[in-house]
Amino acid sequence: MNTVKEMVLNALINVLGPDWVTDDLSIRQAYSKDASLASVWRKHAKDPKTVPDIVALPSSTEEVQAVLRTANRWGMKVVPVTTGSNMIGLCVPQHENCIVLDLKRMNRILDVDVTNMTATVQPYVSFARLQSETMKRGLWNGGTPLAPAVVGIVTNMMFNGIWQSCLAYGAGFRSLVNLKWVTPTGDVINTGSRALPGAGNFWWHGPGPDLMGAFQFTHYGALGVFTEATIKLHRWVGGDWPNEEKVYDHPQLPANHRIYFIDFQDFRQMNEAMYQISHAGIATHLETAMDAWNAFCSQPTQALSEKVFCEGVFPKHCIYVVIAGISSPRQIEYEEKVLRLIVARCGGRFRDDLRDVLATWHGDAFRSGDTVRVTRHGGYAITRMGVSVIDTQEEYYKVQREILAKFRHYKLDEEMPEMYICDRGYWVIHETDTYYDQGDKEQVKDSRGQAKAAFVDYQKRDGLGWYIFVEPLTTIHGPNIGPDFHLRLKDIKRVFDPKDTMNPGKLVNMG
Amino acid sequence: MKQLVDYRRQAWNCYRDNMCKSVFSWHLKSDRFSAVCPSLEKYRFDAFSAQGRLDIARAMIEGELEWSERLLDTIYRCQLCGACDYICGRVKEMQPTRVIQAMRIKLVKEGKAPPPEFRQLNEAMRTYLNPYGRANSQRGKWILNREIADGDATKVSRELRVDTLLYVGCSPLRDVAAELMPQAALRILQRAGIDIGILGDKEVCCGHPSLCLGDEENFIAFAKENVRLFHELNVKRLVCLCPLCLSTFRRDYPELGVKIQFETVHFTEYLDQLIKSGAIKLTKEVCLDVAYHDPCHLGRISNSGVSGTNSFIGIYEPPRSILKAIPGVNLKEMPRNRDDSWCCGAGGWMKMSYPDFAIWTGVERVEEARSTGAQALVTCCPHCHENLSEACRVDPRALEIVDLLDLVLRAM
Amino acid sequence: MVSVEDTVHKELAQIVGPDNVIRDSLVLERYSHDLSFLPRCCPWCAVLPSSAAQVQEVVKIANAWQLPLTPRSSEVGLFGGGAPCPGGVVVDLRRMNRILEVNERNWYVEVEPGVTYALLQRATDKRGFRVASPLTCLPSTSVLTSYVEREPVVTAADFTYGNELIATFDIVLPSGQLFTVGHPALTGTPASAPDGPGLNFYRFFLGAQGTLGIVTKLTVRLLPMPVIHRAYFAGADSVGEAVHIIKAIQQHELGLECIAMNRFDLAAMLVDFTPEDTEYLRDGRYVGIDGAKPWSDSQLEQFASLKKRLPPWTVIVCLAGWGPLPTEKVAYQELDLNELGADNGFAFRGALGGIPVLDRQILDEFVRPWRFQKRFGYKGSCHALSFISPIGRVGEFEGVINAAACRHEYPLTDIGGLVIPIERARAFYCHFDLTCDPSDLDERVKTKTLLDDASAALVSRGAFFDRPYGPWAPLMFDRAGEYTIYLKKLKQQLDPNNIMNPGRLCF
Repeated sequence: MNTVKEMVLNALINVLGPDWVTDDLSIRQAYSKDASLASVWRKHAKDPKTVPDIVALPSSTEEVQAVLRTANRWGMKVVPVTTGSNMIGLCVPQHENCIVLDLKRMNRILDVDVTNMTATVQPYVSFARLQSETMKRGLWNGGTPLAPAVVGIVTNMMFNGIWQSCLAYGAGFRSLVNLKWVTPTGDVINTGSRALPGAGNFWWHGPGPDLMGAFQFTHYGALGVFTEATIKLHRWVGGDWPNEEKVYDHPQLPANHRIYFIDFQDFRQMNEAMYQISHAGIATHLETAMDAWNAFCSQPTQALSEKVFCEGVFPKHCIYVVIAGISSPRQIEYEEKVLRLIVARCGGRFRDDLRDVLATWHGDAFRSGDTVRVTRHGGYAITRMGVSVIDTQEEYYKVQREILAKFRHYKLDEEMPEMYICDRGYWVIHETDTYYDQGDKEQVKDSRGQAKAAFVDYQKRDGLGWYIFVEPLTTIHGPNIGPDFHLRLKDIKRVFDPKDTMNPGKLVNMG
Repeated sequence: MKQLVDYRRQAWNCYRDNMCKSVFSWHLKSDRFSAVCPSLEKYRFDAFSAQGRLDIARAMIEGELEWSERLLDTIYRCQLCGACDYICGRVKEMQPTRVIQAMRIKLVKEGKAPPPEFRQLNEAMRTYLNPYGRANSQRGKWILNREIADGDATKVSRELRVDTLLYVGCSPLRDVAAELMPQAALRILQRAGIDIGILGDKEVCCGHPSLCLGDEENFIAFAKENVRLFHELNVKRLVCLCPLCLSTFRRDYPELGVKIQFETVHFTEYLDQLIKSGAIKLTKEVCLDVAYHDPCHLGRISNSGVSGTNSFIGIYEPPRSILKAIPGVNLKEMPRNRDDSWCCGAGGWMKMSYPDFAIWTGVERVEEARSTGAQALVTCCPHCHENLSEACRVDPRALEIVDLLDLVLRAM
Repeated sequence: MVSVEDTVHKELAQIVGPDNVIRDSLVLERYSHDLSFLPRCCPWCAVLPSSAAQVQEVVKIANAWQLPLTPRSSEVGLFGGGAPCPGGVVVDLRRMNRILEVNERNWYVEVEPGVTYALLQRATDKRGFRVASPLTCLPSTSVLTSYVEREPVVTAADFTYGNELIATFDIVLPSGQLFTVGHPALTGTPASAPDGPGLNFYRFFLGAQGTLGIVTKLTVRLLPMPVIHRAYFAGADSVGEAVHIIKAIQQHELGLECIAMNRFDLAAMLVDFTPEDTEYLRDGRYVGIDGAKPWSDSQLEQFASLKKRLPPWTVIVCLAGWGPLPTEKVAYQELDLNELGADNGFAFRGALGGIPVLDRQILDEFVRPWRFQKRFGYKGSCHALSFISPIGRVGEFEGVINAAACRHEYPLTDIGGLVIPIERARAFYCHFDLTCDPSDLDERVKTKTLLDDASAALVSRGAFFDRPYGPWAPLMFDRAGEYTIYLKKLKQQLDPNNIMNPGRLCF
């Protein structure tokens, strides 16, 4: 008599073909870990639930529907994954009877609509691949996060993706126009203008209430799987790009763009400058250029990174600004003038002397390349990702230093947060990180300590909001959110996933 | 050599950043030609990528994974082309192919590898001391079979005490077609009046196939023998014709702690210097639009040190410089070039073990060459040449696979 | 013996106070209709809460007694969203009319539902800010309602659609729970963005016509008042030509406000009104629930004369400067605009048709819209076809409307046309008005028939009515397949007693 797993395996083989479904342990192991603290910790604990029972690779919406229906019918759990790069263990199983749905075969750019400035893609299309095609047509998606540019663009956007041009183009998730979504029960929902036959893929919002809200933000892959998405594009004036001398770490700055590194005497000055720059309506990028990140990304080896960091080569309170001449070179001229005025007013200094050593930003600011070097020490975890207005950042900075005083275990653990100014200065996201050898259980423990301490300490202070909730707190969302919040999440979960098939326990515990 | 457990830190510290699966972001200009890992593109499960193999290595080290046929599959269906080494080296100072190699060594030691598909190669290396199962006495046959143009004054020195030794490698043992490359090399040097030593049937295999299989013991034996021979001959400069041999001497021998007291260069480096110095003149026009295929072992895995961290740069420019020096040749770069080069398919001795996979990989590269509008795809590696030629025959549209040395001869 | 009616009224009175429970049929008559073609329906009563806590209590009572609730914040509704359900209760939020905070440092304002554009603009003007205001709303329209209903604004930051200027809002869910969307859901976090927590809940409640809850507080982002503000005009022979001009400008990310209007709409805006009527216009009293005061003969004459001086379509673009070097900003953008025009075969001027101070009128209108509603007086009422279109189909959809008008012998010259680019002209908001005399029954029937016919034709061709009011709801939702099914599931989950504005959308 076949077990449920065997029956499901055979059913999936019937649908997808024997090449695309497996229960072989060596294959399954490759889906059992990512670099999140959650996942690494569970690997040290040898948690068998991290290893899925089956891995399936569908190639179409219909196949995704079939897999989800089968899983639903037989009570198996499903964890969808594209590139699987995330900070909080979203794509790694944590239940028995689990299928990992690897969407890698759905990897096409379906359409680039130059007139309506959109692109329609399948799940496994990366930022870099899409940019490579759209830049040829004078368009781009607006940037990449400091996460690798080879991660899935839509999944990043859906998971509240932010990027360095958030100042001008809004946070990443504002770039999603509409989705073709397969629910855990195997139904297909088209959102936005897709919902209306004949309307095309050009618009979001509606009809009426917008269901895309359910599939966005930190939804943790818990409400279904998208198989197509339309995203926004913007005008690209950077010309034929990227180009890098093959001697590494010196990508060219795109045409019609300028980058400036500016440092300040203290955090307050820097913060005020960021406020004024963003509210002046100039620039496309405005972000802190943290000393730790600069040390990592600019140097080809870890030893060199540690050396330059300890020598204080990079200033502590430093920002970078990118200005683009989208309408004409006059725009650059004007915006640079405004920038210089503000910087002078705020006591800052332009650091043209750093331009060469920080040349990796010429690439990373538009399409991240060397930024993955921040993981060179081993692992990299977000201890804190918060959102607020610019003025509260100083308080965060103070709290972060207090936490590091207790928990710092690696010299490059960040004091200075990354601060992304979003939506023309209306809000800001900041992030602090810790670095650890994933194979060293004690270091992993220390990093978890930092994350937990950050959570507890920040919650005590008014005005310091959370953005995403890192392990081990992904379903708690913090006490400040009120006692009934999880009930609302359950409401939504019941609508789309009544049997709790998709990524159970990550959005909300239905038990 | 380092054992698998020595790579524990690397195995644990894969970040799943996905960089090993794609052309490096700052070089990616084509969606169609954006992948770099042939085994991942073919077999699609993450286990066939460097990320997946590092996860498997971690599980093996921690005792969470036992042997299975599929396990061998994931570990051995890999050309060890080094695309992942370049990118992972660049951003994380990690070299996944080393870890894959170490897994193979461990499994061979435990008697669980190599897989049946590699049996023939394994036996050839153990019995015949070369990958083709031919008698070593046949190694010099290519010299006897060559045609020497009238008027060549050069002597073919069999004198075994020369500073510069041309190391031909095992390829000519494969078949008659494979003899053309060393013959071309020799004719170029002869026409230029340059003296160089060759070992003929005294040559010993560099041992790369054994290393690739995971037969550490056999590989060490080859390495020791070669180094002893070269030191005995007092070789100052070893000029390798085959990139696999070059990378084995430069990258893999130092892993054994073996001290090499001679310079190792590839034939194209040597040739480029000769052209630049005027010793070789290229005067005849060869009108041809060409794409150039960077052999993996000439590029990102050509040397010791961590690929992508500036500890070495692959041999990319000398072949290009040679092409540019040939009148009438117009080079059209493929989207994946230099460090981002897509493997020809023959890497890791795939042609002998998983020939379908090798051809599939080669067809992809040929397609890429065609996309440039080139009439010919040029390479300077006998293995690349073989596999790409066969791949060309799969798709009947015109594209010629041309040996770089052949073009040079035409231009002399 | 106390009737159920009396019991319920008493319970409601205990919450909002007896003076704030309306049972008088004459007063209730004012809630029974708006300017849409929805049939009249008198509510059973109306309640006027003054706080979110009171709204919560009202909702709990409604659940207990299965009372349909229809929230309402504006004096005059245009699309039927605030029209009551039979036997239902209108929750009139106009007593909640406080401007709670104007945060000049972080550029946002917090308002209750009863705050109108007229009220808010006066408050923000004083502080050097503006709230992005829809041209198509009345000064008496609730700011909260228009944002929550995704009414497109003319002045949005580059990347956003109007409702993306929302920072957060509070909503009383059908269960009676008060729910905050966005980061401010975490106690004490200042207004920043509406996303999350967990999911983008806020999207469920926008465009919902009060079917999934009652919004009781809105925080909306402010824009700086420009220090330099200039308007430029270019004529176009067709809407297709107009949108292509707009596209070129928007792709170069030039300018702030940018729209195109047909001669009907623009001329209507410029008709002179008496000082008294002008005050009514500014205060939002000009258009009432029974329509607007019709124009005089001299106004009609002036209107005809203005139309003759205007091209079929006019593209208007405004350059704005604020911050450290406002003059320089406008100066370089002006040069860029001229260059762009020269390269693409159009030219912008500071004036049009010899109309005096046109630019100043337009600039003022974009900051404080009050003139656009004048068009209601042409015949007394307007009925809009408002939908979203991709750039390449705006002309096609106009053609569909015109064809329908011809079928119904409706004069094309009486149709107003306004197109607003959204998100740098990724799409266009199209607003075509069918004017109508509300007191003429035959004309009402004819106009309604035309509206229905044109709507059906538009939807069948793919015009996207993202806000499916009235007759658009079945047209859209009947075609939307699983989207509709899951919307209904969402409604069932959040509002199991179906008390929130039942019968709207697809519910």
